[in-house]
Amino acid sequence: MYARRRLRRSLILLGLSVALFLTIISSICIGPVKIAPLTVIKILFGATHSSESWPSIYNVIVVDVRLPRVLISGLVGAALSVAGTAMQALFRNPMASPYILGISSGAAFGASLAIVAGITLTASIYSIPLMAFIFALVTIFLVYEIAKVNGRTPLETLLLTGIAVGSLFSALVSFMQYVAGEKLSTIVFWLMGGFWTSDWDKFAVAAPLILFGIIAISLFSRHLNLILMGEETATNLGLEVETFKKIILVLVSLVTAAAVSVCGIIGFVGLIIPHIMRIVVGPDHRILLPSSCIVGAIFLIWVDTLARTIIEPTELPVGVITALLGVPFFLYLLRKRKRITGW
Amino acid sequence: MNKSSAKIVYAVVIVAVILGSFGGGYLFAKVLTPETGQERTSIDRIVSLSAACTEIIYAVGAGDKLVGVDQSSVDYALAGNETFKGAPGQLEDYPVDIFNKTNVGKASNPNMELIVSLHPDIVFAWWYNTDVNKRIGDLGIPVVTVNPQNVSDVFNLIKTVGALVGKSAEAEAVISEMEMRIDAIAEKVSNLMEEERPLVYYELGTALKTVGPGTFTNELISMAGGINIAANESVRYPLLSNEYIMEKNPDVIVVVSYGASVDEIKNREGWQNIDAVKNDRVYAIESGWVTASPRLVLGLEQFAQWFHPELFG
Repeated sequence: MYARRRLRRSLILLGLSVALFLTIISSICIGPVKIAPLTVIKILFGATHSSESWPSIYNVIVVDVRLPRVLISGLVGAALSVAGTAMQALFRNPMASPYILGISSGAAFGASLAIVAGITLTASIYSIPLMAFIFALVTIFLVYEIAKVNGRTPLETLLLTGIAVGSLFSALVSFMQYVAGEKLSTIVFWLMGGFWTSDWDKFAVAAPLILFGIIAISLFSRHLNLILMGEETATNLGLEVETFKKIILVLVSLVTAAAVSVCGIIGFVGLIIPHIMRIVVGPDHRILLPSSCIVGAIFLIWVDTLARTIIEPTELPVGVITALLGVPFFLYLLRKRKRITGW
Repeated sequence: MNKSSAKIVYAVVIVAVILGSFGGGYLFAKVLTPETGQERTSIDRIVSLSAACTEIIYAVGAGDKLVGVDQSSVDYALAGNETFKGAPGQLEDYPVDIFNKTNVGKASNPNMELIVSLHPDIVFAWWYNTDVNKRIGDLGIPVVTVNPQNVSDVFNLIKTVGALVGKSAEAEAVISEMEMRIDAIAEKVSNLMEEERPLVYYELGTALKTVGPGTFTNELISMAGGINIAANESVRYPLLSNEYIMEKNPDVIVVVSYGASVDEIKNREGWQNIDAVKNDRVYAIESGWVTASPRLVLGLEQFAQWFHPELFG
């Protein structure tokens, strides 16, 4: 029985990994500039532009435009899905998302400070992602410190504090938009989220943080299973609940902040992918976390592929499509399987 | 042409842009020598992500060098041929020819691979999309960022663009025609007393949102002999309160063409008491006439006619 479950788990993850690989390859073949899939694959596997069979610019498009973009969207999809799964377990609340503690509003405020006021910590052109990242972490720290009562952080207090602090930052963002002048559109597009400026530098910054965070969260799968049974039960079963909460919050903040800083605020992925996977593979985090991770990556890669091709040449904000596609599918699953999931 | 002479061309571009930037309000971002692609001897393929630059490029007669444009460059043409009539420079082709150019999407999130695939020698872009501009520069394409804030910046911009595309004489001609037409208006309004200048409320796309100090439209309103009711606000694009506008009682209301309709403004609750509505002086201005391009003289002349029909009838 146990061996069969393990086998099933391995098969699911193997299948999903293959699907992710195929997704990456095929989405790189798609774009406004029509490049034959075979050419794309040759370029991906190291063919140089010295060969005469295609224009040299194809190498730039595949290697410097599409590849980093596809990889970053995959990373962000994975990051938000894993963060969402962990938050839903921690709060034992189906409405929890990576953004629930106000992290997105904090990041948005940091970004808008950099965009409008030119307030930056470095002279680097990366000031927008950096400010977003820093303010995301500042927000979560503020929320955690404010919510702390006698060394404990009751989840309800944490949630309410997150909503309050998030609203405060949202108001500040609105104010920044008001004084933004012609930079307004930059803020608006940042808020809607998107991958059109993805490059290898952003990948190099975000990938280590996100991968580290995802792996670390996965190591706590059993603990997340325990906490689902309630804090008291988890404590009785030997879990240091307060420490555990803190660790998960730090890790979730880290991956979410890294994700938000490279692509702005992309909603729904972190809320809906964990639900969908819970319906499909069940609530055990040992399978739920890795499968959410891979499916989140696959989902966001395809959504971004749509975003950059659907009404060529204009790019749609990714957040619009995540909602348009994700929500109906999610509602369908919810109606169909709601008795089984138990939320 | 060998590699070093290609570098010389780039050095010239850099110097030209830096010189242009001394004109004020005009920023130079980054000019990179591309690592891939063919060597370039001159600027023959241009992508413009700034509608103002697109227009200037046509005005100086270099429209044939444009290979890609952003969405708002196309949107200006959709307003119709007549909105380009009588403009300084060679703008007749613009509204028809622009549809032959590759549209690379919105300036704030353009399609990078389309831009790359057009092999541009240079990209013109607004300064404020820093992320996008850096990305294009990283892909080996020189980016010139522009930031015209007032009419004299526009002259500098026309001069620089003209120099870059090898049309300096044409650029000078555009500028002198603009100066002539601006002077003609300045001459007539300069003698007006304060009380002869109408109070003007200008509305943007959002109801009650207007232009404050440091904006183009504000400058045009005052050059046309009007007084902007929001000229002394602290924000560049303030949102006014309804009662403030009623209390100010503007003599003229101008709304941008993509904003509210003239009828809608006239029928706003309580606005029947505003002089502009009572005297039927509510107008819609073509949005392409109030930007950083040669067509700003059309906007100025239109304003002058509305503000002072007795002088410019």
